[in-house]
Amino acid sequence: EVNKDKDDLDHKKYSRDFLLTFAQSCIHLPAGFKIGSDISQTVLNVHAGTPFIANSELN
Amino acid sequence: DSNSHAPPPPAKHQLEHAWTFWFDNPQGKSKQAAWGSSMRPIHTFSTVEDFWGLYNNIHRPSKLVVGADFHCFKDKIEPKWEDPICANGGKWTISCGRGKSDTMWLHTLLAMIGEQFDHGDEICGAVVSVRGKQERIAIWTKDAANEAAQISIGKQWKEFLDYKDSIGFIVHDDAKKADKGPKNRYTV
Repeated sequence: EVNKDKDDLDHKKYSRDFLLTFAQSCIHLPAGFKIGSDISQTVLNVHAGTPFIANSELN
Repeated sequence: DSNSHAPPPPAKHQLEHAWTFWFDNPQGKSKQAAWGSSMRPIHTFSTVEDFWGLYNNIHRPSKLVVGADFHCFKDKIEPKWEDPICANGGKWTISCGRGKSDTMWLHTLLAMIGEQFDHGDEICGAVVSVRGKQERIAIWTKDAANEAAQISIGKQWKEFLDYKDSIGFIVHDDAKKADKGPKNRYTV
């Protein structure tokens, strides 16, 4: 399941393709996320909770 | 979908390093006073899942306001020349047209947090800068004098982005001294 580099288990290496497999499933801000209201609109997507990456397989 | 037993939540995938997103809008005018020093840490993450949770909710570069700088740096390293870990470093920079950097920025982030660079320990972080006519992405490194490491990082970065044009490496010290356009120390 984990696409780690078997030759280098001391380092947590992840390929781009492996990382991209999480793009659609991790759509919620991490626990503990806080941002000042003064910059939230500047930084955060107004459609928070929606993945950016287009994927016809979404659900 | 008749599963009667929900699987336990899977363990998160730890990254080699914790990373912090920072936002800065040095050219912001009306809100400048409220932002104070303007550079602000947004959140620190250390798992693949938390990276995507942030990325999916944060504006892509093409949606950020003109003048914004958005950084992703290793935890405990501030994206400033003055930071002791950055002080002797420099940066590789890629420029592109307005609205064109989204994919390159994502691929830069994935290469960094996935530890795809052979000299990843040399990397401080990356920044995307949104300006009126262009967007720039830069990778900051620690030791500009380590030519072999800098060249390796620059070449690999281009490979990861499939970027064909030449890119230049500017030493922070040279940038501080130069009034206009510091010269590239290295080019790949």
